[in-house]
Amino acid sequence: MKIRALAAVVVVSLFAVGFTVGFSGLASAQVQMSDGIKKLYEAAKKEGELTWVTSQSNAEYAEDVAKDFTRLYPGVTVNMVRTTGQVQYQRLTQEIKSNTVSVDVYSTYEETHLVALKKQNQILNFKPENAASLVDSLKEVAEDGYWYPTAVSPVAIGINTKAVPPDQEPKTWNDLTDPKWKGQVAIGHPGFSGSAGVWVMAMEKLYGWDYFERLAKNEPQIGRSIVDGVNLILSGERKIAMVPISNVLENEAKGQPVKVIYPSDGTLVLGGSTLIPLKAPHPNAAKLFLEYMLSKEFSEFAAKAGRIPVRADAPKPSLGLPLSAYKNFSLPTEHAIANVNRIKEKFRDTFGI
Amino acid sequence: MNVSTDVVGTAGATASGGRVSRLAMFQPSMLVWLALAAILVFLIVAPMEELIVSSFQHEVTGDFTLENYVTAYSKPRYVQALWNTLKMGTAVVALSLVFAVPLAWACARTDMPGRGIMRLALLGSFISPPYLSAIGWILLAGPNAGWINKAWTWLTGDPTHIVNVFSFEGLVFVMASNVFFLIYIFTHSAFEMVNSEMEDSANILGAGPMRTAFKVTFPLILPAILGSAIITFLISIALYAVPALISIPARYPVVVIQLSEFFSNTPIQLEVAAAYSIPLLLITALLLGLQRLVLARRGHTTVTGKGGERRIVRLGPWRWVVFAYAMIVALLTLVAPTFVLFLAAFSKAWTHGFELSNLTLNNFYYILFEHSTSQQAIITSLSVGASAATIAIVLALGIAYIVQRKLLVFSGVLSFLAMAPFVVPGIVLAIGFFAAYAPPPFALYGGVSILILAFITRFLPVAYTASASGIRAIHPEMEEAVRSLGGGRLTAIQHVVGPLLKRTLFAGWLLIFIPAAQELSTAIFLIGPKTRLVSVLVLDMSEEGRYEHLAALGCVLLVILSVVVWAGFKVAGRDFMLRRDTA
Repeated sequence: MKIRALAAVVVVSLFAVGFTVGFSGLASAQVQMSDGIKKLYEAAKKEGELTWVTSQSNAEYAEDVAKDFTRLYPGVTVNMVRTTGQVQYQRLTQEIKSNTVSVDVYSTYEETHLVALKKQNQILNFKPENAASLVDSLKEVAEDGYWYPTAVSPVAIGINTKAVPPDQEPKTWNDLTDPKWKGQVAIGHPGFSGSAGVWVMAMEKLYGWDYFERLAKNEPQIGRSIVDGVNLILSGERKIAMVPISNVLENEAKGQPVKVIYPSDGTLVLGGSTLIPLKAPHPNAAKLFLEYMLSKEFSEFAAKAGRIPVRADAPKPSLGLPLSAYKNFSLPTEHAIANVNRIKEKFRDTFGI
Repeated sequence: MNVSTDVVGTAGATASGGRVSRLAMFQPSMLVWLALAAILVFLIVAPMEELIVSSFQHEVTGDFTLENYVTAYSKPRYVQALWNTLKMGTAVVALSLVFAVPLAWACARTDMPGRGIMRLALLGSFISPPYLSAIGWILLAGPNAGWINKAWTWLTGDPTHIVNVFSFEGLVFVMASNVFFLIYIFTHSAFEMVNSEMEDSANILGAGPMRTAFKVTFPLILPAILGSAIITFLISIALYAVPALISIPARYPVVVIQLSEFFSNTPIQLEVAAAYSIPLLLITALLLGLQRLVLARRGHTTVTGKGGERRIVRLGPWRWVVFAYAMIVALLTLVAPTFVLFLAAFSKAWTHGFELSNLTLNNFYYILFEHSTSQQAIITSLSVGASAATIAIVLALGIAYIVQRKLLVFSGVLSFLAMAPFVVPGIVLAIGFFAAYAPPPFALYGGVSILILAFITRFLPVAYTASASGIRAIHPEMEEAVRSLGGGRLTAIQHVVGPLLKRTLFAGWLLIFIPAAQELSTAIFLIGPKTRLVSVLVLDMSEEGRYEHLAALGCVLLVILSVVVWAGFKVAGRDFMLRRDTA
């Protein structure tokens, strides 16, 4: 709750990319279930399905997650919908208003939306038993009984190594405003992407709004999601982009000419949370899914896929740095709530869209 | 469109003529009228009324206020978007005319070779939705990675780009590629109507073929050009797909993007969106009024189709010039973007282009078997399109029958209502539907019913025009024969009218089904997590930059729609699109 963005200096030297952790948990579909989870599973099977709306990853990873869940809990299928943070919130509030809620599980990086939903009394009160094993620093992100951290996503600079020679590499967020990158930068739009919204607030704090005036002169490509950043640098459409690092690391591991630059003025580490709407049509399946997202199985799955796991007892991510490598600083939730709409408007005025 | 004028005119005249006697005669059938009227009120009047009323309502209290209009026009950026839209619309029309008019003339009136190819290209434009051709052009003309720019750099060593789809010019070009065929259809049929005798007179007086074309033929078809230009303008300013994909990166805000911004704010600024959409509605109504005027003033002698032969102009060597132009237009507007899309669908990475090692079927496998929502989206898109088309045709047929046979009083009201959605841009219609039926008591948001209802409304004018022209072609004597032999009206409809109308209705059904199955502008505000459509999924995938998967999904949709159209040819005949009355 207190930590919105964990941004700061990174110790890069310690961990080589491609560090994998041996693990065998995925081989069998049988999970060790506590009595509580067993009961939930039985009830969830009767419901048979759930709708999971997420902006916490790209669609491909989210689909893998959904499949892993059904593999572990046969008989409960997941309808996954991936969209951007603003769009999912607008749709959920509309469903609440018209009393036609179809969302069972809601995952986002936009803490302001979580707070707003709590204020409207629209969150199902549920305390998952697996929450006890969260990483300590992430326990602060949780609002007990309401929402729990399920994803950690560092946002940094991705570059195309074929297009950017080593001595030219940007070192800081500020370097994105260097005129030599005119027409070569990609960023996200805070009017659509929740992550971009946090990033804009962080940059404003660091450099003042002047940063965006300078950035606008560089004519960045503005995407609705920051997930497409990696595709833009892969295709060569842009040379450098603001990206969730996991997308870049995956492609780098596959031998693509991309790499992550951890900016020295701070990597933005987003903690994303998940909640169950009060009127979720499949509450038991939803609870089971939330338990799954906090389970050892899921943390292992995430680590193997190169994501930062949320549990203390999970292995290190197979790609990139572990959470402990990032030095944290907090952007208070109150700041985000007070500023998110202002910065969206201001961004639109500066960039004209 | 001119068809409807006649309908309203005749029906209105009859209604006022025999009002009293008919009222007395047809008491029970008034119920039918009431039922139809109620349906139309539900589909058309209520959402529009809700739209206008909510634009004057305070967001929380519901009191009368002008505040929404103040908010909607208080920011220079918002007003700029309105101005940009008008600029864009005008440019799109200008470019569409450049594309369409020479082609229509060449195909209708000259010995240009390859006219069959043009007919095919026209059909292709009809089947291919705007968002797919926009994606095709993003792959072709992205400023740095687009194939054209890469080819240029490869050829000349010059690293700067020569084309940029993310620009005003790019936006206008992609828009025009998607809307110009309407001008083509209208102008083509006008050219077919022009009497050659007039052109002969010019020839006798010493004018060459070109001079005749410019001095005689074009002035005669000017009303058709102007009328279709106005419709093209209206369609382009209301189209959501192309701006969503191009104008955000191009940083060129237009009205539809601004509307979706009001919609994505939290809390959602429905009232402001309503206020902001009113000018769009007014512009549309005004221009359609103007179009009526233009069409009403044309010289009837040239379009009666009576007498006078229409001879083909022999272009001599010029025909190859015209042919080259036609091929270039077809290439740019349809073939190139579709080809690129298919190539991307079969590629591991679209940027690698043509390479044997780059070919794969995985994208199709992924879309058809792995991706959790796309199969469902394909089914939903097709079934929503088919339901909307079927219901719209049945409803329109009922109304058209009553209006044409003058069975009820005030039937003019019904025909007017059935044609009314024509003045409502798709995205504005969505706002009205949202305002009227998303909240309780209806609470339709998130289900397929709101989509189907909105699509029925959106395409009702097409259905009505098709049904009315079909019924007008059937002489009442045939039904009277049934009735004098003791059959009831229903028997007559079932065994005479129905079979006779089959082809017309099926053509009308296709003209609704194809655009409804690809619809985005209306759907964008009405879909829920469980009612995903291919169009919306394509937009979602594009925001992640997954062009290979998206292209595969697009190709699946194109193939399905092509099969349906091919079946349509078998049933309704090859010319179903070119019939002026149904287009």
